[in-house]
Amino acid sequence: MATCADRSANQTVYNLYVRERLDECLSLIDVMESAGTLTEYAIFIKGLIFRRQGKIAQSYSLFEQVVELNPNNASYLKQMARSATLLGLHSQAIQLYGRLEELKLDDWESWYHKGSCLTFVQDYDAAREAFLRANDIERHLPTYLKLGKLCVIVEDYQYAIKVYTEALGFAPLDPGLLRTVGLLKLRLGETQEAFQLLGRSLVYDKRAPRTLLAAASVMQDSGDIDAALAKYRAVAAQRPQSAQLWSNIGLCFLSQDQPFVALQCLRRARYLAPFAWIIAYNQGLVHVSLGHPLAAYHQLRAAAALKPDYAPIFGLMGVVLADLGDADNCLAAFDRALEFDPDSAEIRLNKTIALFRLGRDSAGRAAWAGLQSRWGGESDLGGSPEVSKAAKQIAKYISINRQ
Amino acid sequence: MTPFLDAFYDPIENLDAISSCIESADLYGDGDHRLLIASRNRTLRVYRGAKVVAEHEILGTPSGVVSFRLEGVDKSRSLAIAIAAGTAIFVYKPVKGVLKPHSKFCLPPFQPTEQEQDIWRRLVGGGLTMLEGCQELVDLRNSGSSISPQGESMLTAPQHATDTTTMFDAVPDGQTLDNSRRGIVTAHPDGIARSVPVITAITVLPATINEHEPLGQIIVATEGGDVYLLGPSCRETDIHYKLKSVPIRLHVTGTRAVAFRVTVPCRDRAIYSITEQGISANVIRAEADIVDVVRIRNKIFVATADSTLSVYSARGRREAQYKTAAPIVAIEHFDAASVEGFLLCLASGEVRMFRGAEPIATMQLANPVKGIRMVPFARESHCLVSVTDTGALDIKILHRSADLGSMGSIVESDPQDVPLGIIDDTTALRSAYTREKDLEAASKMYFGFQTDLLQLKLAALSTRVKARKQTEDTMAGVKPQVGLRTTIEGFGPSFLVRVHVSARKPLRGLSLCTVCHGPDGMATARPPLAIKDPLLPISVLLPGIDTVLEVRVAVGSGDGVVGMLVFTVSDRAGKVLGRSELLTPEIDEFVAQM
Repeated sequence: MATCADRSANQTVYNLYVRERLDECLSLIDVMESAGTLTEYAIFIKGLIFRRQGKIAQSYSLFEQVVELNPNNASYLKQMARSATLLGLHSQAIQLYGRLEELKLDDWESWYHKGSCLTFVQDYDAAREAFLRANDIERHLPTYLKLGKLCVIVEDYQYAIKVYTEALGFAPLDPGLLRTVGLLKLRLGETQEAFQLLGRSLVYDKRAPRTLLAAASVMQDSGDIDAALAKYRAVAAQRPQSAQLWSNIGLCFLSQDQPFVALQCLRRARYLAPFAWIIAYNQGLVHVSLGHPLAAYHQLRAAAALKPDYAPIFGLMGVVLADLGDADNCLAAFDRALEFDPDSAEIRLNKTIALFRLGRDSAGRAAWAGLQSRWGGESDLGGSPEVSKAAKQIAKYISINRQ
Repeated sequence: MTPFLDAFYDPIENLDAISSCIESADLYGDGDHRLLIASRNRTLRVYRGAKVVAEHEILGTPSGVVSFRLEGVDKSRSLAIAIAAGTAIFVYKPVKGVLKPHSKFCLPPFQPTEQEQDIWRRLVGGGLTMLEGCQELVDLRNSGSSISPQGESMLTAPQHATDTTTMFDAVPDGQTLDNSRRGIVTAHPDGIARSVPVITAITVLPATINEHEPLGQIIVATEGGDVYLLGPSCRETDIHYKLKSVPIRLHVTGTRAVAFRVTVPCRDRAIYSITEQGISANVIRAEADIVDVVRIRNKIFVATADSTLSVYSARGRREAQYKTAAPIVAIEHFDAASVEGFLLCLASGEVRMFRGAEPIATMQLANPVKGIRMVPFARESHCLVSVTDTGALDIKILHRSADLGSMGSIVESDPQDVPLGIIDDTTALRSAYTREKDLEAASKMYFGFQTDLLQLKLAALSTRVKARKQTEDTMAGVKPQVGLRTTIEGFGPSFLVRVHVSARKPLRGLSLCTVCHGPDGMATARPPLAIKDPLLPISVLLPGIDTVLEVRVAVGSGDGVVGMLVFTVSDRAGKVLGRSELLTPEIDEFVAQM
């Protein structure tokens, strides 16, 4: 004989759910179901657990069930809409949020999630309106963050900065927010301000890996290798599986004239992310600097297979092939590089040097003449002192050989 | 360093109690505090020292246990224990050295609406089928009325053969009424049953700050969102508050005599404050489901299910937020040695002790905590009692000389000091350096490599030609009845080859045979690839439906020569109906193609 719903089990179900004892919680719900004492709330929690376990479609049908039983319950509608969003049913989710609006609860969360759905369907104006409405009802940091992100998507950086500034007034000590603003400033080229914000973020959360990585890369770019390495050490303790991190560490060691250690780090990075072309390219760079043309060639070949449209890879491969004496493939590599970046003085200069090294002096002179007519002189080849120095050397070589 | 001393640990106590179900009381006024633990298996155990001195059965799943002063008929007040279990509060009193049941109190019952009563009357009277009754209940709920728990059971019951029947119809043969809607109606022949709200939380509001008489009136919260302050005799309700959600815990600060504040975290992530004047308008909204809260002066510490500890001001402004390394399973307030703080328990078994918001101690337990309390026990004024996930009981004593007020904050090691852990093994790299130091040797190796590569490509091409020719020879004059298509998955050394087999007409009793040939197109003793299942049966092939067979192959001892996988589908007589081949090398040499 069926009994009345045992609502005393609801509290146990809740306690188990929030304490992450999901299996125990599910078995209790199953017991309730088999005993005929299943409650609406237990079905709801079962839906939440299924969603956390990745069974989104099942969770959606469970929420559908509870919404059918109690269509005016805002929590049920909200969670059903969340599952719909995760299933990619954005328009259905937006409809459900519309039903929540009809309940006139003035709930910021439903507007916030509606805004997220509208962002997915690329209705950015409506999404912005939804986020603003959410903030009108109750100000919350996630809303600011989503609104800022939306502004970045539509490339309205000034408004994004305005939103984030307002958010900083609301939560001035939030490390995640400080990091987000810092990264945006970094993207806008305001390095100094970005670095300050990242530093502030680290004051409140000195272990945040993303912040540490961003701050360290700024330090690395500005040449403060020791400080960057200290920050990378802190990240490595938490995220030892990050390929990007080991790649950056490798380049730090290369800057410190420790190429063997750099190669060790890059090999680890490559092991962690075998399809990351930048790591293969970096490995190639280190091998070139060490004078290992064959090893460099293999790394660059792998990088080229993964990223077949990046000019510097082919430019460097041309240099390496010149070292190895493969003239035809060397010139083909330079031509491919110039196909992708015809305005690169560096690649043209390297090609000129390679032609001279391969004994094709007439072609080399013609290339040098072309280079001069295009840029006007060896000192204006792009501003890099190494390039200018190489250009001067080649000019000197040509003048000596002419005599 | 921990300020606690290990006192007692029993791993086989088989306890299942959350923090609110752990309490201690000086039951007999002898200064020897007994420990009371109400377990989820409906038992109340009383511990004196390490010994269980009494065990009582409880008529419901306990949601909390408290000790308080019960007012008698003659207005005298004596110590009692109240256990909230299911829909009732069971009061126990110590009598002549034994804890005995004293009274039971139930909260005011749920009053069903007239419309709902009418629906139930019609259901019992046979005027409605079970499904019609459910529909009317849903309509009633949609109109904004709340329905009784019995009505909710009716709606959540699973589908049953008797759902389309009325009470007048006969139950179909072979059908039982277990877990059915009709079963619920049959169980309540008088219509709607009197239903009492389930209690979700219980606490005590101190009467005064007098240490000798610290215990006062009981406050309970229910599944319906009601909060009741009971009278001193625990026989009637004194004040009633109605919340919009279901409370999960009740935390009291202040006294009944002066002023009090009850902090009420709820299931909908809201945290309400109740004072004598009513429910405060400042409602805190947490960002995730609430595990529990602790209030210390004007700060509210909220532990949420997303492994976060948030600090809110009394006005509801979030002041700080900390992420924990593992999910939070419990947070419990303590007031010991004139220091107020809380204990934060993580699912990893770590227990952190905070003075205000400052961590002062940490300890690692063998198992995660389920419930924890800092209570007086035996003759010790501060004992840390914890019930673990495995059912163990762990009691630790706060060191009598522990000065929690002057303990320094835990200084975490600087993550920047952790060494990178790069293994100093540069032998291979140095040998490469030595090998390539001579540019001429590097050049030789490069051209040697290119020659080998070219030879491999030529061998592959030649094998491809042979394979095509072989297929043409095998299938000469035969119209292939079966189509084969192959896809490869995996990065090696093991691969999964999926063979999609399709037919133009229905075929039965076929088999897929996979053979690995050498570069000359002939079977070899040392094939380049090892095949796990060379013969796979295909029971039936239907037109328009692809049958997918999985062949696992691994790199064998072929010494790097080009090989060929040949797939043939044949019938029982051995007649080949379809054939396909796959070459072993996947060569994509960029430089040679330039």
